[in-house]
Amino acid sequence: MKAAVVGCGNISRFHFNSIITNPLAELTAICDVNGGLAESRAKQYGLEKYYTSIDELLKKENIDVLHVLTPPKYHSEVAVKALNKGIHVLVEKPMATNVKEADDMIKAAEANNVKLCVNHNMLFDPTFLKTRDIVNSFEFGDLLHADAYFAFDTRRVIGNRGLEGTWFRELKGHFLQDLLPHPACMLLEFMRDFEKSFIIRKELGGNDKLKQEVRVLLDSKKTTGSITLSLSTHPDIFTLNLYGTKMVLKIDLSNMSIVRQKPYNIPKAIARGVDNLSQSFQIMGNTIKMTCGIVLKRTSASGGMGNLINAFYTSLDKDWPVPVSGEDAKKIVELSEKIWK
Amino acid sequence: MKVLVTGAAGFLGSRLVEVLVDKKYQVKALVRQQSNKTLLEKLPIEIFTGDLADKESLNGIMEGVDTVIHAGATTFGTFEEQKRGTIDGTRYMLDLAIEAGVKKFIYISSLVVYDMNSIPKNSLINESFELERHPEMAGPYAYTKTKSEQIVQEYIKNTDMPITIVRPGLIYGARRNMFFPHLGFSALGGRIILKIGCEKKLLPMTYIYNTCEVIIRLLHHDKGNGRIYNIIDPKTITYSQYLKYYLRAVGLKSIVIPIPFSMLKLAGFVFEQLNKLPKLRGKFGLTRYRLNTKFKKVRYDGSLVLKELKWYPELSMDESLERAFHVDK
Repeated sequence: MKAAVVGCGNISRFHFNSIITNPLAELTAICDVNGGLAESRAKQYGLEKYYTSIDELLKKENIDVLHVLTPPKYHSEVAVKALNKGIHVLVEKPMATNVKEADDMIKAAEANNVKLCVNHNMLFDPTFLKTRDIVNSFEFGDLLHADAYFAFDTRRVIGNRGLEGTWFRELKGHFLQDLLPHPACMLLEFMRDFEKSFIIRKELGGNDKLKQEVRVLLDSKKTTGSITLSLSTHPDIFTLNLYGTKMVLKIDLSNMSIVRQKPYNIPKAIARGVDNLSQSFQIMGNTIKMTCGIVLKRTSASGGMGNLINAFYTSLDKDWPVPVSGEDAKKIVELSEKIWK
Repeated sequence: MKVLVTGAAGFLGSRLVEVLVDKKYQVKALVRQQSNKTLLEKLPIEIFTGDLADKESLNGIMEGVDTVIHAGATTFGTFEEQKRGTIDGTRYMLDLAIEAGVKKFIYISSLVVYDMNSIPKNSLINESFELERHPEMAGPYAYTKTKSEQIVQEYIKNTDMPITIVRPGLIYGARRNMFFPHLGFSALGGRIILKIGCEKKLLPMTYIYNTCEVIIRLLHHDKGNGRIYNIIDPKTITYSQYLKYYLRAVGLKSIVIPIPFSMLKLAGFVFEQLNKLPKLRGKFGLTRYRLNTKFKKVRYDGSLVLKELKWYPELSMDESLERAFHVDK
């Protein structure tokens, strides 16, 4: 399948690497409004020419798949153009800046009988995949509550390159709106029938929206969920705590660690010690595994992005449902619209 | 919509008929003369008596039928009888359905059709994996089910009838012995159980009501025409957990002896050598090939059909197991 990439920002290198290593895909064209950037990427990946206009690319190139990596406010416009030409689209998260844009994309994909997939890469993160397997096991029982705490240290992430020219400044929810899909997509994986949400938003000072705190409570038929988005919690953590009827899971996504807590049929006084020891051993085991993985280059920082992109191409090849559908991603756009009205 | 269900006296077929009636479908049920019809006779359905192995007996079966769920197979008797009922029977049903212009034909296949001997250990098997390449070595059930599915696949390619193939996993529910052959060998009336291979192997379980729900939803799923789906519940259980649950649920206090798979394969090797002796030619079924088919540690992916149908089981696994063992009739 001939693939093109529009938007050559930071995230694009993961897409390029996945395309060139996937036997089903062939990198055919590159586009960015910043001609210099497009040119350097084209050189890097051995393409003779590049485009600075998506219209021109769509007119001149005969492609099967388009990766839309532009700032979110252009996602819908660009994606709909491609979908209407019968091109499958993989779009970065956040899928869209409002529900209408998301709907436009979903409708265009349906009308043209092509596939639309959203890059919620956390769903394919190896630690999350393992977590999902445990939650889907008899041993775990049923999920009662899922809690996600996502705190980003802006000093570390944004600090170096400053805020100028970063597209998330234009989002109503600023940096957090870009962060929301990560915890939300994982929780919705466990709460497919989620119905209601309750939101608390706090501005803790400053005009740059970098002191924003968001709490979301989610309600579905059998499970509840809570999401925290924070830019003031230090250090930055990405944790997931899952409470089941037979087990509790404590997951640290950035440290790639999963700790299980199970009930013990022994006196409480002894159980306390045993449980602590068990948790320590699990953390130690996870640390050794992660270190070996990184040293042996089996574990990479991009998490599930490569897995998701490969799954997307397989779904095109076999005509299977895409790994993350437009409808699923739209639920998060709705939530986002509700948080940042 | 009138649905013809073959194998209607069987474990899956009889429950399918019940659920279809419950959902207000008109049902025609194919049963053999000697089948037990007690349950079916209580339902408001049309019973058609015939035998899949006997084409003549099927005359007129498609009258008034819109869709077919072909769940019938012959799993008893001699190898020849099984071939007639399962393989020839499938061909008869397909031909009759085409002749009658049936709008949907759902064929109930099985997970035994995968080429387990070439699939590496620990694989996650999805619908794109290859069919058994040597059905003649895989035992009568795997042979007849693989051959039948090959025929159905040919009809998908060469005819216009909308056909969907489903491969259900281990279907659990009331009215059947839930000590599946994949669990190992039971001796002395269950007092001793030989547990084969890895304890952590995941069983491809599906609760009968979930299986029925998926099949019935597929009747209306046009995207499924010409496609194949595994049917396996999303919640997983390991071999050892299920065996423990089973023994407690049926009140057995068995002695469970774990046998490493490698040791069983060694036994398979010995039987293979014995099979080569002129007097014993092919007498033992316990070959390494067949052991792989049954006990290899693999996982099955059942997510495709659930994703396409956007349907997920409502009951938890604990509830379904409880119902299967203690509540359902």
